[in-house]
Amino acid sequence: MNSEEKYALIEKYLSKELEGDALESFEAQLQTDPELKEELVLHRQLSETLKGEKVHELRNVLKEVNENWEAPATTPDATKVVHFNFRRILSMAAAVALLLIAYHWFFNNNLSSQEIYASNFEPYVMVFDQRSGQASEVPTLDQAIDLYHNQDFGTSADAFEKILAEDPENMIYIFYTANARLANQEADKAIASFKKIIKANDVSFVEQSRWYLALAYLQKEDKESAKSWLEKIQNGQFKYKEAQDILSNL
Amino acid sequence: MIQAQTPRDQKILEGILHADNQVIKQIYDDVLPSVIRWVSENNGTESDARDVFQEAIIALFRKVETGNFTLTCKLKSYIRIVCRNLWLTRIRNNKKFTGTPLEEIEEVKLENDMIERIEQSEKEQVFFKHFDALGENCRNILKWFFEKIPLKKIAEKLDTSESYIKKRKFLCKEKLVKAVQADLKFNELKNH
Repeated sequence: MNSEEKYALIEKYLSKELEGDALESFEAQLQTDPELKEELVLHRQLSETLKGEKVHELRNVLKEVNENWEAPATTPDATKVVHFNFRRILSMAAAVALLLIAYHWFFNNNLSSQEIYASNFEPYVMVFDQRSGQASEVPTLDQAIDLYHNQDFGTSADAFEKILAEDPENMIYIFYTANARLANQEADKAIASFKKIIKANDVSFVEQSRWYLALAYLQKEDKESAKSWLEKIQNGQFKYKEAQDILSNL
Repeated sequence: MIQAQTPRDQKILEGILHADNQVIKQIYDDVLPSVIRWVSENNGTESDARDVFQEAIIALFRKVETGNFTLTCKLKSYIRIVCRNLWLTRIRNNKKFTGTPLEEIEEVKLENDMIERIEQSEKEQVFFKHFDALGENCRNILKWFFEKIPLKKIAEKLDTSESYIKKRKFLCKEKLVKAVQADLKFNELKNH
């Protein structure tokens, strides 16, 4: 069998056009000829990788952008988004916390864990805004979200827990429950939930949970545990710089 | 159905699907700096980071292209995690690597099909490299053939005969297959 015949056979097999005796004979040959089998796999992979205009178009665009791209002067912070009013309130709270800390530094120069917590904690900015779609299937979700945005964190956490009862492994709900508990000064409950997310190694919230878990320990004045969690935050991950700043103060 | 958590992410996913230049630039600005930092901290260079970043966008494109993709976290986080996994896979596949032991680098869970894509991505790079080296005529014929466009239609597009296209398709494919089979990197990856 020459190459051209072999290719024709492979292509017919891949497009399921081979039938009857021809199919049986080809399959028998595949069992005994590892090189043929390998070549069949290569033909299939080439076809899957290279088919379609779009992927080639995308590669050209990526190539062009990559050649002209230079890092922007400042890297945008991943959390700087959404909800102007909510953020303004948070900024004011942060400003007050900073003033308190400055005052304390002036007279005492020794920050408590609670103060470090207060100057660093911001409830995670909620990103699921699309309530009218799948979210509305859960009756109290809108309510839980509104309460969170209105900073009624205790009630929001209760509402999220009701939703969780129906969907106990939903990491999004666990994460926002934990955040609301932390904001409501219920560190122990928050810690249990953040640890659950970290244990599950959930792709969406594991980095954020490490940061908030450390803050929860600061809220409890447990500096050692806070420190060990802050040390786990690696460069490039969520709040790395802030974690380093806190570590240098602990 | 393509679903993201925010309208912005939704728009970016659609932009990737349509190879939108402005959207791609935006993702570079938003995500690449942190990928460069992380790869540089983990025995890589800026050029390595740019490579895995491009692969991550292509892997993401493949997912979006299926028309069935729900993003359960922020898009930026997802791309970063795909990049990290790509870099870890690349380190693992490199026998000469003698840097940080892998257990010191955290791995985060991804969906099974994305893990498969990541494992295939270096091989795909080899395929693209040799495909790009073919002439334009060969590239077009193979692209259409892989897309399952009948040879008769390809012949019409190129204003030639079906028998010529059949022969040409074989020759182009043979050239590509032989180039890939002779590639050292491909042979190294085959054994993983």
